[in-house]
Amino acid sequence: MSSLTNESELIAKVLISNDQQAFSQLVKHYQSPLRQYCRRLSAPDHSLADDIAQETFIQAYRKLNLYAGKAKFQSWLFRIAYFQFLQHLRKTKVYDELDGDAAYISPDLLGADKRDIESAMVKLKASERACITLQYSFGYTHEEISEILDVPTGTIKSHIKRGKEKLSALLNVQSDTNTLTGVA
Amino acid sequence: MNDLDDLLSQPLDDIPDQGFSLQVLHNMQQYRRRKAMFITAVILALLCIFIFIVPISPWLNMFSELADVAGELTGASAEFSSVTYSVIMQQILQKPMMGFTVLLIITAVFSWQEN
Repeated sequence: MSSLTNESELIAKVLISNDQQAFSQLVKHYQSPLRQYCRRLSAPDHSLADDIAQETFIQAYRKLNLYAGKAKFQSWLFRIAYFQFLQHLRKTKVYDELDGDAAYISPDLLGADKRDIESAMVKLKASERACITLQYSFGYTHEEISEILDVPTGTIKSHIKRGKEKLSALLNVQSDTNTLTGVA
Repeated sequence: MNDLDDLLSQPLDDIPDQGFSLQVLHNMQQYRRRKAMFITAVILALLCIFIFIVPISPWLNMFSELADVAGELTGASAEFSSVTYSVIMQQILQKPMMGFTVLLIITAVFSWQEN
């Protein structure tokens, strides 16, 4: 995804003069990656993903003064989205997504469309989906993911390892989960 | 790199906007409207508390007297201004709901402009 050259300028405009046009440009630029990320988080419910993405942008608009500018704006949006999603899980009381043992892996996928990574992703826990998506689809390092999800780097590594093990079993593909080559 | 890494590293499909941004802006405007209404309600509540707790009638009388003096100093419309202000003050004191309504309208207009 191409970067937004005048991003800082747009953020400043929103903060100083409450410029809706500037925020609109930010929304247009980041809607696709944010929705991709939300769709992975809330897979396979695209409608829920869009609701979370909407709420993320509203929260970002409300709390833009808290954006310190240390991390990338996209990382900050992903962080808000993740916590929005966790809040949704708590509301709907889907506790097995939040903690506990590994989610049950249905054998339905085995022998079906083995390359259907999106279908297999549904079988992972939210934290595993988030870590894997952030690393492989968006190229974040373990340290960056740790900041986005607000969990230690070691936990990120184990989420990725466990997630990959499950995916490997579901999709019946080769995976070297011991190496965990983070995009550094 | 292995098979799974290859699969996972495949770029995600780009999602077309299809009115999503407009919906976000619409929701933002709704949020701002709700915020303005909330601020208006808080201001009105505080004003009501202020009016009912603090004895404002002496202040209003003082304001009326000041208006009379100002009217006399300006000369021509002294009698008119004196009568007018006195009538307004009497109306506010006799009909607090009218005063409340005026305050409501003023606050709503300011909130709308803020929005």
